[in-house]
Amino acid sequence: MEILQIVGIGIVSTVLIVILKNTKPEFAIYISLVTGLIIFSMIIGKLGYVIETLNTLSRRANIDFTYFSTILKIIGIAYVAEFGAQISRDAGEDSIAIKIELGGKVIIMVLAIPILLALMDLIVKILP
Amino acid sequence: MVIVDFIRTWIIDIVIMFIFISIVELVLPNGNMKKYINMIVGLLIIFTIINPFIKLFNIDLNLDKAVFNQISQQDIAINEDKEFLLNQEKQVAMLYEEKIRREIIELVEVNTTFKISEMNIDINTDEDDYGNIALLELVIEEKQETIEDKNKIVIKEVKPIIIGEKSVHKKDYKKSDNDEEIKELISQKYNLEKENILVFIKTEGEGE
Repeated sequence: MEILQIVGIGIVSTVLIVILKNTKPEFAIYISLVTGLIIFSMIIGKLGYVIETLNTLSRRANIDFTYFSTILKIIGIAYVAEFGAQISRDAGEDSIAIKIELGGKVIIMVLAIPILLALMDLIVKILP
Repeated sequence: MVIVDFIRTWIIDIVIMFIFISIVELVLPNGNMKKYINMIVGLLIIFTIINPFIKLFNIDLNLDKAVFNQISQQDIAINEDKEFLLNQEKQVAMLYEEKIRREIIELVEVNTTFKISEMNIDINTDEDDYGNIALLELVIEEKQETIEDKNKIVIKEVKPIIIGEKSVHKKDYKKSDNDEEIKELISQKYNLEKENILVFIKTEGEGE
């Protein structure tokens, strides 16, 4: 029944924010931040299970561990970057959100470069 | 049958890959990051499709190794951890020295009637002959034949102790006369000049 907890936390915090927004708007952002953290920490265990499943799947196929860890890192980076950007956006700081996303994108590209180079190598070698 | 087998494993790989990708897409957050991740996933799909053909054409290329090489090059370029490298180098040098030490001990004990009690190795660290022995100092002593002496009581000659006279450890060693054999052995094995091997002999009862 975790979904009820998550939805409950979400609704309670939404109501709180709506009430507070008129009187003390500076607290609204804190509440949304804390809510985000609580929900994130609740789902992180479940996410571990999904990743475990992905791991077994990748073992069964011939996807090798190097790529798998790269994909996992990329998912993690995407999540964290999205989370941070979302918080900044809630606070009305769009420019900072864009910068966080930029950081995430650059790091993802850096992780992708080894795969890209290896693929280029492979294609050059396969062509006669 | 080989063809059927080949196609079978290939299709299994592709199917599992696509299941994998669909799960990844479910897990992904939906935002601006999606297109970047899609690109990398696309690269992975190309890999999976091409992979069997490498084996088919007998091309000597290990994809894992290639990716790993790229990663390690990148890592070294990004954060060249000098302390770590230095540490590693030191450990390798120590291991190397230990190995030579053991080899020399074995060489001497098997081929001569002496055994080594102390050893000092200097290893070259110059660029051109890195790893060669620069200087080797050995202190040897006669092997004691323990089996014959088992039933006898050996009385060692005791030096008279003179009070007030300091005895220096090193002075008790004298240059050995019958060290040619050992020098020959070592210089042959390690291609080392004879004058760079110093052998001292330690006679029984002295030097302690």
